Amino acid sequence: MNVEVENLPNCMTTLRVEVPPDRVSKTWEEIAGDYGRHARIPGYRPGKAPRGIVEKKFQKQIREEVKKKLLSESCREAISSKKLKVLSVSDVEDFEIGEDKSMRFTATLITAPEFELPDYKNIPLKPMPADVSDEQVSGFIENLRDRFASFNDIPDGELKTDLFAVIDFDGKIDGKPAAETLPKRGRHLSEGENFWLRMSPDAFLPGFCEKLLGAKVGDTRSFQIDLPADFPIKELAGMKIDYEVAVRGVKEKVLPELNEEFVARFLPSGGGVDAFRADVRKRIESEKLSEIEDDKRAQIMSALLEKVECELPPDMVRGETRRTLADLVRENQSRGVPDETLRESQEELLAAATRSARDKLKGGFILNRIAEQEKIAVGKEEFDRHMALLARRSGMTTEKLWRELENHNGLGRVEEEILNAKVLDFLTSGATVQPDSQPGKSPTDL
Amino acid sequence: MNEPFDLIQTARLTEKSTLLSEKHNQYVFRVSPRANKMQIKHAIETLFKKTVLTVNTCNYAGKKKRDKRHAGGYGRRAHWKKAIVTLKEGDKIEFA
Repeated sequence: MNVEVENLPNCMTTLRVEVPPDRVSKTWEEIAGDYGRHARIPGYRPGKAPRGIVEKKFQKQIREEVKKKLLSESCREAISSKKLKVLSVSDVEDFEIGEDKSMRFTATLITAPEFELPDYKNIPLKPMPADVSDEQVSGFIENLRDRFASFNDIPDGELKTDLFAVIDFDGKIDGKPAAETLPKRGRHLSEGENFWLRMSPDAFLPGFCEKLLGAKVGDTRSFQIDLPADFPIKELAGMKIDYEVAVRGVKEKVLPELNEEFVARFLPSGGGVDAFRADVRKRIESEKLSEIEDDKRAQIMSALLEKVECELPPDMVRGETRRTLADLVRENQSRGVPDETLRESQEELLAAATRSARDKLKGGFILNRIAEQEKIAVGKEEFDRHMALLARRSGMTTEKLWRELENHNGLGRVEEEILNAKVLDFLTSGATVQPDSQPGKSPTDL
Repeated sequence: MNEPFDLIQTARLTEKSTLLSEKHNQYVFRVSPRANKMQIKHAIETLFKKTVLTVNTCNYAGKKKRDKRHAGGYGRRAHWKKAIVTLKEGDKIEFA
């Protein structure tokens, strides 16, 4: 078999293969013989028709089968003989079976990028403090108290800083309802009913709360707000809005007392405030430990990505970008970001998705190469265990999950996930934490 | 109507005809029932450019078939003639 390899840019490789006539004839004979054994041709009993007649009648089908069989066989052989790391076959063209029964074709392959593996053992890591301070425990408990706070009415009270006002407001620009003038993104500033407002200088609009200080329930105030030139919604910067605000209620936020009754909500086994504090500390500690592990992995990945420069297959980058972008949009939508805002920032989203997709692909290639080098592989038992875990998380049976992943070609992806996690575990165990350097970023900052 | 293409209707490709061609260099054709052996010989020699040694013919009566459009309720398939042509040794006709 004659094989010519031509490396093209962007991880593409062209493979020109010529299969010798004797092999094509042999395959042709096999397939034509198979047809001959079962062909039903008028005038002959099944299997009794002469080969020439069978070949003439089923020439097209036999040719297709020979092509299918020899293409995959010879492609596989050519790839293994030339030791190519093929990700997928992009295209097969110029296929022909000549008069002399020799077969030629040109296959365009997407290959894994070539790069030098950097020193991946003993990657220096920045440490992340693992101890939990009393302030962190208190902060956690304060947050809990804040979440369970109640709001008490102060019927005769005046609005002061840190109290809550319940207001109706109506905005006008040049005497006309603000809703007519304001762009869609700023509509929520035009009017509101039973609007809860925390009395703090940075709440709602700049200077809005100050104008309400001292107001009581039933009071109505009219004032003008000048939106500054650096207002976050660019279309509104520099606008003047006349507001008429009616105060419906004044409320005070009351935090629940930190006592046994409050603590019992979270610690059914009892034990009082001290036991609760200890429990909170333990929870923060375990969260921190997993954060540290995630941070180590993130640091390793970013160190590897920094050290390796390679081309990436554009088709794969495009596909991965599409998936990442879809995830980003879904995540933003679930957070309540309006579609219009997403459309406006689509360029930034696309840039972020492309960056992340490139990093993910590059990271995958690096981890795969390390797995090859260190002979790390995913065993069947490991795979089954992971599938069972995934099935439990998604609330379906393992068989159903297996079927669904098989239908969407997702089994390879799961295997890759397990392999990447194993390689990262291997790298983390070999990495050295440098005690003197600056603390690393937490994964949320990365 | 006596042109070679009118006289020779089709080659009969069956197990029996294949056997005859392989063993005795004989080829079987369906021919016009009006064609005689001389005409068949001439037609085959003209069409295939081969030398014909002998021609054997047999007439077949078309099968009787039930057909209510005809008087008596029966019709017929067409009568037809079969010609078995023996070629000179070394001459061959390729149908495949």
